Amino acid sequence: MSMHDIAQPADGSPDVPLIEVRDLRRHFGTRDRPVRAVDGVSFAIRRGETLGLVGESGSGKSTIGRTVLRLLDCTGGQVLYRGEDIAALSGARMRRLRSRLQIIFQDPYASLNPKMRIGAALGEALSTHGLHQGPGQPERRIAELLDMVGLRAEHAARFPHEFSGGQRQRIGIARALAVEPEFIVADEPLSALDVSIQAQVINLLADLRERLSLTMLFISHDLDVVEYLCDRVVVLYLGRVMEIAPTAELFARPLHPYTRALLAASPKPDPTIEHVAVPLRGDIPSPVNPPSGCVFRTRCPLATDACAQDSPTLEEMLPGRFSACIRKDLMLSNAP
Amino acid sequence: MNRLEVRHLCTSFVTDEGRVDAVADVSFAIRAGGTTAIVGESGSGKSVTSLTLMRLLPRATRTQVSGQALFVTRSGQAVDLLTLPEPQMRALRGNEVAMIFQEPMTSLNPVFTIGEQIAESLRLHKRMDRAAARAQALRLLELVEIPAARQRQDEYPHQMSGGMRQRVMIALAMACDPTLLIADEPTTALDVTIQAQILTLMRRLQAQTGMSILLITHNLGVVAHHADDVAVMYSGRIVEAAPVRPLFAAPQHPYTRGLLDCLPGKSHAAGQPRPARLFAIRGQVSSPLAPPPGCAFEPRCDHALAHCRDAMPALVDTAPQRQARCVLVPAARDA
Repeated sequence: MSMHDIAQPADGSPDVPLIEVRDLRRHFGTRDRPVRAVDGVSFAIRRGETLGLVGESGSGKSTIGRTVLRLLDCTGGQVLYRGEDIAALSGARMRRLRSRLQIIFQDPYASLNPKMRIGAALGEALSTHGLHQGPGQPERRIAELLDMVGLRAEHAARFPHEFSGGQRQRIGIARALAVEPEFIVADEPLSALDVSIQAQVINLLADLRERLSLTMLFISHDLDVVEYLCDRVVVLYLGRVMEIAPTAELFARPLHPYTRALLAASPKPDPTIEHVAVPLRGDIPSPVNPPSGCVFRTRCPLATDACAQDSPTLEEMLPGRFSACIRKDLMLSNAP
Repeated sequence: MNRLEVRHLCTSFVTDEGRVDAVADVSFAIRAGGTTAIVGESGSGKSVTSLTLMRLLPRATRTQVSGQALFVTRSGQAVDLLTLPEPQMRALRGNEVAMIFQEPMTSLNPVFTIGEQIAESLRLHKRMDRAAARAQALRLLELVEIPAARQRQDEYPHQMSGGMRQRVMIALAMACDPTLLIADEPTTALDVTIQAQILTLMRRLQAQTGMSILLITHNLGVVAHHADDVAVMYSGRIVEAAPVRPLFAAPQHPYTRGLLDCLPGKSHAAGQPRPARLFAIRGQVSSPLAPPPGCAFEPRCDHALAHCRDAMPALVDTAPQRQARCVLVPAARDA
């Protein structure tokens, strides 16, 4: 199967996907001892879709998010925006494209200048991209943006430290939306928030996505949030894709042994569900020295000797469902 | 038998901007061999509660503590953790009560090997000699399932993963054969597969030693599977307390109900379509310097009545083993 088949969205629509990632690689460190943070990842995001990127620390999800926006250059493979390779764009064209592609970070406090009033921070985003014309315009737009994320116009005169964590994340969202993007990378936007505030921000993201027809790459380690917000999910482990599937199918019937372990390890807020899952053994191996063959085999309960030989490729196991595991027999028969 | 009984615990800090009641009138119990969880969001006072019990609050702050914390030692003697003279308290910390924290890296000394750190604790508290302490340290590392423990006892904390460091912290805690382990967000910094390993390990150690656990967490999934009794805290006070199953099956306080309802994992049953909107608790926690006049949750409560603003409701018995702090939840008739 060619790389292109994997990249096609599940419904086989003829449209060019908004974002397409092909065999993406991002290695850090030296040539002799590369840290393979992302190692051959392919997926596509069609217009209006929210694609979830899940995996544990070190799986490469944040690196992928940054590489997709060219905040980090890839060391191999391609990122295509509407079919065009963004690595090949000139500085000026990339700058123009930046207003179409935005990011929301995990810790909004770290991404806001503590000495800058919120209005000025939002105004800067507007002027950088030449989006405000005429006197009085930026103020009106800033008020509109604050209103959109559930804050008030007078908040523009305040400094970041005057806000709570949830409010700061709303400001982070307003800043990303200021330049009218069509694609947003949301990198763990909820993990710094308390549960009661998390639900407010989830609703805000879902509303804005609907109103502004946003396409989203939603990076998270919280499977429940991903299940709620995403249309399709990419499961990563040690820089590689283990499984890609539509959300409902993935959660109802995970195919890859890693996806199953991940779902089983996530405790459900219901004491009547008997917890029988035996936790996965060991730690994630080092990306400097990943296991031979399948990178998950050192922790996989189903691994055989053959798993150490070849790196499994992502294959379509069921319509729209891709999994990278040589134990296809078990994947299809034993799946719950 | 209760291992620990906390009665009317209050901890306040006097700051330049005014007095903050971080913990106010908190009462709960931990059964011998049982796990009591304190759940709450940032600023609810759950960590201050545990630090007050361990008497680990920084002395520099102008802190006022009142109430009682009756702890039953291994020999059956009841002592009040809040008034015990410091030398006895230090002995208790080494031999009866242990604590593990969210970030093991900040609790481990970066310039000593993990074997040395565990051995130091054994020499100090158990008066072991160097060789015996090193041998016991190795046994403890094996107890917490650190692979290749013999080699790893000579490693430094930075050479280990977050999960392994938390195992080391548990080994350190187990060095004093605790009858009570206070675990403050022990798995919050860890990935879910590692969290599952650590929680399974804690359960196994509890089953083997019969220790009690005070589990402090914000994660309701962890509470559901690892606690026997639960106290929900909001703005320094317990708003609801119950055994785990009744609490999740029929939460009584509007805050507890809201917390459970706003979880995306509980928004729809398996196979059902997801709802367009999640339930959300509106607003945010009030500043501890300017608490609302009545019930602390009233400004965010969908069911609030006018008189909720008049006074803080009392924590009343609502059913056997259940308490709630809300005027809408009727007290049990026999209470």
